[in-house]
Amino acid sequence: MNAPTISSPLRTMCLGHLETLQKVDHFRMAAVCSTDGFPIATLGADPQQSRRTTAMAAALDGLSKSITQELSLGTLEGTVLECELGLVLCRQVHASNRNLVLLMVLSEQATYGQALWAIKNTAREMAASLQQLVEQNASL
Amino acid sequence: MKILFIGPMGAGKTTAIHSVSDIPPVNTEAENTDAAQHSKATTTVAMDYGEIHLDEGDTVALYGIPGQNRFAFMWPILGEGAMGAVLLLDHSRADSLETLTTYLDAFPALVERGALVIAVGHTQQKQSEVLPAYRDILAGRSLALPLFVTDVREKRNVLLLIETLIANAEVNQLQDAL
Repeated sequence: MNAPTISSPLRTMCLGHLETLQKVDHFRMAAVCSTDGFPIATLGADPQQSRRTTAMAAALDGLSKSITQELSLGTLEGTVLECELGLVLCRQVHASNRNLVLLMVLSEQATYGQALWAIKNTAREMAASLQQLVEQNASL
Repeated sequence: MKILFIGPMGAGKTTAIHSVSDIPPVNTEAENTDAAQHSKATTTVAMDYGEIHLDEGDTVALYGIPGQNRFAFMWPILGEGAMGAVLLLDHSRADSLETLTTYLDAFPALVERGALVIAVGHTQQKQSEVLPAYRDILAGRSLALPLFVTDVREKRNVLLLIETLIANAEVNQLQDAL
């Protein structure tokens, strides 16, 4: 099965923001995907790995949203997995008619606060860029 | 008791759980960006969850898997501890017979235990026209699993599938005990 075609401006925009995340200390990989798990842009992972990882990110995001809703906690902003050997941060990117999932993986030496600040900031800037693209091209 | 609803995207897993659940079901729906695979607006990305409350105070937990192959990593996670599964197939799809084979291969433990009921939907045709091709595939593997044509929008149809699965499990347990 082939993944749906991703527009080049969308991929270029996402890659630009991922390059910002790449500057975070102890960066391992980052990816942007659709909310149903298709990779749009990836840094630090081969295509096969990124397809698996983005599918998992979408599932994590979907489950996190359901938990947030179940517990009446408003809108999901993001999910963090604290692992023995690193951090996984997942963040929602909202535009008016298009939502994306942003994922960043850092190794164990990473600073939690710095990582959280970086992904929040990037998600906010990416949302603004996404909104601009949506307004320019409704079929994005 | 835990029952899985398995099958490809758009086969009706979320609908089936909605049809019978005694609680508001838990969904993990996301926008479907893969129109080539299926035209529906949203798709399950992690799981569906519902419950049936039995008179004796027992609860049947219903778990729906995300159907796309890219979410196959969720299948064993959700399948852990399941007593059986209802496999829903979409007869309107050209690859529905291949899909049966795919799911028989993907859930070997359930197949081996005979803990599977197969329900073919999305068709107006009679059972006698629809089922032989599916039955041939099962016979080719020496399997005699319950096979139905159904519409999972109807609660009674989904209950029939679940009752069949439970009855089959009880018979298998009795046979194992002998």
